[in-house]
Amino acid sequence: MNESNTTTTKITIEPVTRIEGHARITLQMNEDSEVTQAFFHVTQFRGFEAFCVGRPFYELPGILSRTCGICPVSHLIAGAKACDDLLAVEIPPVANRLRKVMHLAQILQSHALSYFFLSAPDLVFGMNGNVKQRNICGLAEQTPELAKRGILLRKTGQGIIELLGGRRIHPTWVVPGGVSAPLYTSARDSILAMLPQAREEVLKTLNWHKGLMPKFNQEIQALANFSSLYAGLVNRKGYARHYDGRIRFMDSNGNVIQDHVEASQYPQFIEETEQPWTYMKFPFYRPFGEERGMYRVGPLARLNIADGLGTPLADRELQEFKAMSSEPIRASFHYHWARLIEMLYAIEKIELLLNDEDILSNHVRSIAAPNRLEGIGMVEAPRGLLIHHYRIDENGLVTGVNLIVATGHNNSAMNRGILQAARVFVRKERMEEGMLNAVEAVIRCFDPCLSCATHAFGRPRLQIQLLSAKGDVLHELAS
Amino acid sequence: MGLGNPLLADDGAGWYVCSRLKERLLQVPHGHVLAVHTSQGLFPEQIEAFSQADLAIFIDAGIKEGAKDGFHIEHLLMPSRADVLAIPTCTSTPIHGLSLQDFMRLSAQVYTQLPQNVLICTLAARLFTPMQGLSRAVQEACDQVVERFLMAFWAPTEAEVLKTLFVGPVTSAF
Repeated sequence: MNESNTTTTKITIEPVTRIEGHARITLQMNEDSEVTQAFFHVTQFRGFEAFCVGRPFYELPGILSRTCGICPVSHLIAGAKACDDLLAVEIPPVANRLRKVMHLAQILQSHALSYFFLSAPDLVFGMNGNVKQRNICGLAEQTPELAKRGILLRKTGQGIIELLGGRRIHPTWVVPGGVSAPLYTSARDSILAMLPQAREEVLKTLNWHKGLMPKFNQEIQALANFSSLYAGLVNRKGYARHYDGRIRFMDSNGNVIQDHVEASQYPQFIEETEQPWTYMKFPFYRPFGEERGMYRVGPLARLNIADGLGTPLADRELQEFKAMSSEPIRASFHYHWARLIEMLYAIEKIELLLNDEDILSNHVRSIAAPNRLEGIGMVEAPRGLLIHHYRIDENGLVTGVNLIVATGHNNSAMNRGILQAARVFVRKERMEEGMLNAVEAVIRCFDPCLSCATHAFGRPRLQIQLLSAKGDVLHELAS
Repeated sequence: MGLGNPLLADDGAGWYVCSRLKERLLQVPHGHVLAVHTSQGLFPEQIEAFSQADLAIFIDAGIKEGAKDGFHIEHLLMPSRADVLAIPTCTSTPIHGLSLQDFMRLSAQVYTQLPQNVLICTLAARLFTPMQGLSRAVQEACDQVVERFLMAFWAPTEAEVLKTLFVGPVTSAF
């Protein structure tokens, strides 16, 4: 940022509210009050990659799942898969199925948090709605049924995780080689009993959401709506996969530009760069270079790249979703819709997995010592592709860790998205809260999980300052 | 509900009390149903169970300047549902936990009911540093709380449960 330029003005939105973690947005305006640059600063530092060095490899799934309280299961499973790779073992098929159940339950609870608790206030009250209402209490007051649905769906996902892993947050049940204990009949039956109501509530919400879309035309057009690449995991048939599968890259016209990339091949296709104004890295599609290699991951990207999901109701919804355009859906506002479709898929798929006749098998873990010095685990976390890459020495002690987290993949798109939105919504020097909320809403579409870095104490606070080029506060809004 | 973090020394007091209660309270007499939960905070997923309770008890550690070792139990004067709904602002986020005020407000809004009685049992804590285990004075206080609850839960009516437990003044919920 060029603060010495006397013709520019800087607007800071800090912290960005109703996201998971803490961040700041800076908008830079020229003398004609046009936004010329936008920056999404992640102000937290993650030290996990450094302090895991020297630890025994089998501790990593448990340690690294502590990076986050929202998506710990994804880190746990990606870590366990990286360790499976170090052990060079095939884990028992039922262990794979059980891991999938827990992972899908986490996608359900995480998406419910994002959709109902963080973004639904914008959908119910609009971007310019009363800021005192745009929260979970306001939502409960205005639409108690919607709030109740959100609570139920999150509770369902968390309840499944607890029934499998003994606790809702940071279970340690997924281990290198499989899972630590088999599924009991009572737990399976309890989970199956939760699913019908959850399915009904998602279907009701999908109908409600689709009915809302005509009211949000401006947001659909202006909130990170642009061409990009898309990336996610698919199986050999091109169906979306959240636990296994290989990476597919698709361009903005819907052409598959690279398919079935194995975990070990990711460095050939994904490169990371850094910027001095944020702790979050900027991955890009290596063959296209930094300028043209921006891609999006997460629910919208997964639906864009997939030929199908593989469950009847979710596939019906996917078909309707894709019917909006003959090309991949560019509007990031539709991440919210995609999230609902994935919740439906998760519920249907969990039911299918639990009805497998072998699901109660006792053979849930393969035991081995390390047989490789490098291991990579890859899953689709709720927010997108998550890669854990470990290196160990011959004693099994960690010598290197690289994490490529879902939110990082979307970093370039989020930065470009806030610039696009700011150019539409922020025009005048005199700011209004709703105007800046629309800029924040870009970030909420992507549902970034900055908690993967660290947690902050205290009540989140919205502070927006309009500064002159010399740093004088021209105007300030604070909650 | 025992609140706190058992990895932060005395902050685990609520968890300690609840785990002892689970161990020792094999059955509850007089047809009462007792649900014992532990949590690091108040979250939306817990509200439904709270809303359906006749009596809700929160057990937590706290530091108050000048407070003596031990514990005290407050009986919250429950506001009407209308009063709860009239609270003007939301003060917390659902990710990192809700305030008791918002917890009660959401109970009234979403599930349209509140418990008839809410007790807050606060254990005077000494340490909140990263370590497992309680300081000796706090553990002794916790054991006293467990005994008090075990005695109270044998009372035949809710009024007598309250009478057995209640040692402090009735205070406003807000």
